[in-house]
Amino acid sequence: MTNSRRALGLELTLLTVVMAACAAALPLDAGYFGWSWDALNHHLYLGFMAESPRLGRDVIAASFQTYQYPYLYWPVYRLSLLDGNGAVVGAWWAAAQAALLLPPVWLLSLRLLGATRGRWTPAGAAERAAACALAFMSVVVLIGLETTANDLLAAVPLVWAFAVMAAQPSSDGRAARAAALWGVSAAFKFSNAIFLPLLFVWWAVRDRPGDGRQWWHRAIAIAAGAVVGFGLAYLPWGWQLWKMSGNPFYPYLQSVFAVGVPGG
Amino acid sequence: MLRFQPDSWLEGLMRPWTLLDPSGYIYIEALAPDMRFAALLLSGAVLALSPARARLSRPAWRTLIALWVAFYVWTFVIGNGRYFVAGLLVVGPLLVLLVRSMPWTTSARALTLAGLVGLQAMMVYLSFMHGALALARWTQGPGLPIDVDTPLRRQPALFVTVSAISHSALVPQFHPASHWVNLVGQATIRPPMPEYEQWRRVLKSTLPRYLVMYAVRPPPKDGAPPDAAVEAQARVALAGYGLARNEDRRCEMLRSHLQPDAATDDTGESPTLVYWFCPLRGDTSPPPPPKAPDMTDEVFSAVEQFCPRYFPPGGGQPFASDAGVARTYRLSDTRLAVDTKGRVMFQYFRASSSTLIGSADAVRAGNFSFDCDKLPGRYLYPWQRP
Repeated sequence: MTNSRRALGLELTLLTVVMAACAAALPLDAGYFGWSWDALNHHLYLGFMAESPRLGRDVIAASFQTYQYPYLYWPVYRLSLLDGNGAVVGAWWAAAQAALLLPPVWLLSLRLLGATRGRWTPAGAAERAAACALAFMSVVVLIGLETTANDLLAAVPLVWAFAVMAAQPSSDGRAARAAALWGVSAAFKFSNAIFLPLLFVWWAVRDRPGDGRQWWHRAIAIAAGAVVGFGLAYLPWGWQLWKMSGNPFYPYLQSVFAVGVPGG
Repeated sequence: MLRFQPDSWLEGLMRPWTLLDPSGYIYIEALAPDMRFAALLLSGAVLALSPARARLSRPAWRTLIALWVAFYVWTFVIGNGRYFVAGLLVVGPLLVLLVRSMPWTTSARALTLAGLVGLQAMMVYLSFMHGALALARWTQGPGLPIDVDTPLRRQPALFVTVSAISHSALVPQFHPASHWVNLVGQATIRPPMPEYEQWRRVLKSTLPRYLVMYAVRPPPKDGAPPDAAVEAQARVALAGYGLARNEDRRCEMLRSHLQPDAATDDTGESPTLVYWFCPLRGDTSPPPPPKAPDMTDEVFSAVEQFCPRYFPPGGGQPFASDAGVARTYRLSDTRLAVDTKGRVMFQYFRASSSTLIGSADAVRAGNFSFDCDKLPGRYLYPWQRP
């Protein structure tokens, strides 16, 4: 390992630890772990459902949020079973989320801002630190760190996708991986499907202007990546919904799939 | 859900600037001013007009274009900041990139970057509040709502909730063979919903049935009855399903150790989150068939046809009380009501009061009008506010 690579690794580790510590400070400063309206309504229940399926037993116990993808709530549910200081538990939760989010943000910064001739420099490190700090300087992100919503976790693969597509050259393989990561994030949370136009941008904006060679290779790579990423991530939950209702996206797309009876 | 969607194309295009507004309910309920997108737009414009734009690599252009495309799709489709977390993160590195690429001296670029970081940090520091979305606080004990053992938790039963917030967080703390049903809440289980058939099947079980109610109130004495207002509302909801409280048996009250995020009352006592489990009786006969459309349906229909954006036809959940009849449109945060005096009015959930549309007769005849593009309570630019 070269000195520059070692320095970059150290920089990433340091930034991750600092960001996780800052995130942990939020619940510790508040003195509690906050349960939101959504947490009491469906987050904890969905986490429970992730390990103990109850689709045939309960009837929209958490209203229609019962049918949301449950697995990202499993860690929060497990944490809620602990008997102790809520602020400390919340600190671990916030730190874990920050530690998962920072690496792709940092990699994106590294690829966009570049390392000077491939060498680590203090100025470059300062720029990347500023980029990471600016990324997290959002009230929405801070609220996400100290609550139980799955918004931050569901965004992790999507930020990785941005980082993958910031590399040069943007090969078909990279495009497929980025599309797969988008698919995973959309499976985690359907609202991430609004980032669908990214796939078109990643297809259309090439490394060299006018580089139209084998455009269909890239299109197939992106389409296949998106389908595989979404399909694999969604399969466990879609399968359960399909068994229950004949519709893996229940209660959406009822006009497309045969209308079934939950629990029937 | 159009809570955070712009009311016009111009308002949508202006979103990078409106994000600077230190007001709530722009792209999240909380105050969350954000200057990064405005700064990205400005710096991008400056850079695009200068020869320095050649400093940006193709991947940088690709990321920049991708972010702006995603930004405007998000703005017009949903606008909820919680659904744009990836964009809120990616904007940070892009902003640093654009500032660094400016055709300025190194000192000027460093100063600009430091200024942007400082400004954004100040905006976040001044706006962020702990527990902005918290209803209950976990300080000590287990994270789930109940920490007392009771036979109720050890026996299978059918538990019914009839509140907008289902409190399904209770489910893991009760017998796994129990059934939990949020009969009336954000959604109401009724024909022809597939869930209605499932509810009918669950109702045939011989398990004991309980209505689950909750309230946030000063610490009650052990065995205190449910709050009258809460119970009255539940009674109305249950009646439509042929269910009623079993008055021969008392409700069991369980206090939660979670602390509600509510102010102390006049007595200085901290409020408590309390659950009541009240035995239910009832037959399994189907509820009475829905009544035929009456004159108020025509009133609702007329308003829905006039303003489907805020009152989507068929999207309202009916509600009746002594004050009249109403429909609540959850996806648009609106309520349309006809009171006992025949007055028709609507209210967006952020408006301080209802807006009178006219008499029921006038509305039915189509003799009414209101600004369907901007309901009272929707976002206004700072210079438009009274």
